[in-house]
Amino acid sequence: MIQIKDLRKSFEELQVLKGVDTTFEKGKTSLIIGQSGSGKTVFMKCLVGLLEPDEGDIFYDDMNFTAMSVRQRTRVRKKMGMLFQGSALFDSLTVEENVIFPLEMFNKNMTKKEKLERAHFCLDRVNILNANHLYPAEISGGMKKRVAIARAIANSPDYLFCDEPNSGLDPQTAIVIDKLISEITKEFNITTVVNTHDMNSVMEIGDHVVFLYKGDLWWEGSSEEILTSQNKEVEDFVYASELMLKLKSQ
Amino acid sequence: MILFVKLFRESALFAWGSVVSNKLRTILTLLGITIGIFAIISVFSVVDALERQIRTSISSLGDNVIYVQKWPWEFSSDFAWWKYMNRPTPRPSETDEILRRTQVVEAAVFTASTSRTVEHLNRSIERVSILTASADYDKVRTFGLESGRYFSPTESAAGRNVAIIGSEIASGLFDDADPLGKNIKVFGRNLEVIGVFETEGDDTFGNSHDELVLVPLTYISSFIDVSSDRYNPAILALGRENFSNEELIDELRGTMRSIRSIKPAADDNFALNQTSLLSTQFDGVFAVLKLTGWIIGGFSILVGGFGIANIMFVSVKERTTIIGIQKALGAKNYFILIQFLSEAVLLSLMGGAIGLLLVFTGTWLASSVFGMDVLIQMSNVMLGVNVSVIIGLVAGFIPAWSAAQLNPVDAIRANT
Repeated sequence: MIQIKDLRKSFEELQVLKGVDTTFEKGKTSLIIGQSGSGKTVFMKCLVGLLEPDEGDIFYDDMNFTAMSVRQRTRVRKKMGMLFQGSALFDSLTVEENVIFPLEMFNKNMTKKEKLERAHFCLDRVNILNANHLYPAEISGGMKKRVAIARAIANSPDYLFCDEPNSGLDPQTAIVIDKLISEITKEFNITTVVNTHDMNSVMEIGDHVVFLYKGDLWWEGSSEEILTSQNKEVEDFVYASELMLKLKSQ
Repeated sequence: MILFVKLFRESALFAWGSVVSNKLRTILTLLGITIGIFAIISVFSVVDALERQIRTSISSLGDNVIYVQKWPWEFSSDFAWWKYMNRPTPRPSETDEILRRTQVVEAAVFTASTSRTVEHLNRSIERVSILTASADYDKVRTFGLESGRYFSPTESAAGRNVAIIGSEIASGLFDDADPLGKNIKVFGRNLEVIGVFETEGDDTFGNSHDELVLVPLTYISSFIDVSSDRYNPAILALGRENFSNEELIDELRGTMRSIRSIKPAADDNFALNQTSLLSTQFDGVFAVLKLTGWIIGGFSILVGGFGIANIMFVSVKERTTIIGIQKALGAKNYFILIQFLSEAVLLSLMGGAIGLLLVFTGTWLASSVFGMDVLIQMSNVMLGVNVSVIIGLVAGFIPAWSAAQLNPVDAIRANT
């Protein structure tokens, strides 16, 4: 579980986060949504330590991340899985070796066989085990994303952060990836936070949705609730597309 | 390990791409290392060749031969010539005394030399070195005979008018004809040629037998004073096996002092020279030459080192995101450090390899086209490689360290 209390961040005169309070539950997929410039990227970066907040606290399972030393933060980071925008796989390594990489780095006590077994388990979980000996250049964008998910869960993380997991994917593949993230979150009881602006993702996997507007936590609730929200800014965001408008009118 | 090699390959390929796309920058960067390695290794190779040549020449004078002479072999600035100039010169009779009185001398020979015109019929060669030696010259100095024979004991003892001539003299006076049994004229007297020295080629000190005429001492001493200072007289004493040069010198000193009746407190009035003295004199010259090579090459390498450091800083900057992702996935600082250090070493080695290639080409040209005896030795190649590796490590350390110290969050932020 991740608790955020009164999180504030400014860049010179510009206040980007104006006191965000929320909680991301274990075993649930939480989505951060909002318009461009709403502060969701800054919020996500503060969560993983990319940026230092000016005020407020972030608790990882009751441990205050903002008050931790560098060494303590490193320990927490080991429990974080990261799904980078654009997959960020190492081109010179095979699919299997990409998944083994974090195991090599973090688990010195695991034998080679154990690492291989773990990598195969993760690849099997994302249904891409048959491509284990291929290189990133030889697989599709959707498959790369699966490999990136497998790599993110290789070290059995407690927290999974996904930055625009659907960027560059076709709608069909995007749904598959979204579902995969949601399934893994529940199956391994992970606290998952997804930064997205894709309403399809919200509808597919949003157990908990946080809507940021001009640096404020404007609205939060479930994916069902967002469709019926009377909040004008939420409505503007959700029904910005013609498709959503048609769905609403039906 | 395999993972590291593969990631290093990825880094190297990335760096290679940057190197290829900025050819001019790369060439200018590596030029310093190339010139530096070229300067150092080529100077070392030339010095080695020179050293080898000089040492071979010195050893041909005999490693275990002591030269009893008036003048010592010294080249220092505090050479006390006024002390030596009044010394007596060695005499043939002292050679016999040395042989009679010492236990450690295998053979001793008296030599003197001058230069004269040598004639045969209507042909003549001017300023030919005429060497005269007592009977055991063949035991003290190493040489071969192309044809004919050495002086017989009778010829040496009786002072027969015979001569052994160098190959250059033979071809100069007789062309392709056989000189054996024919007469040559030296000192206005006829000498019968009984042998021709094998061709040796010039050595560093001009000690070759190719351009000299060797005649028995007893023959020449009948009409010139071989002990005169202007004939450079010397006694060459060859030590017995199992005796060191120091033992030989000790015994020779005692014997010579006894022969010349020198009082216990008085200084020696002779010099005991050995070839190792010459080697020692040259050691200093070689050291200076090598130091010059280091200084010339060192400055180039320094410039090259700065170039590599620069290119590595650019490389780190360009790959900040990859570093961030690796670190976010758990890569330790040393893992990043080694990656970039290896890359810097690889770049430096490239520069060094080009430098070595130039030295190889140079030595090949020098030896095959100009006939010079220059070889690039394995030790020099290793030196070039080691210097390149060290420069790569030194130049790449700060950029690699800065890459390793990058905060993963900052590194990823660089591009997200």
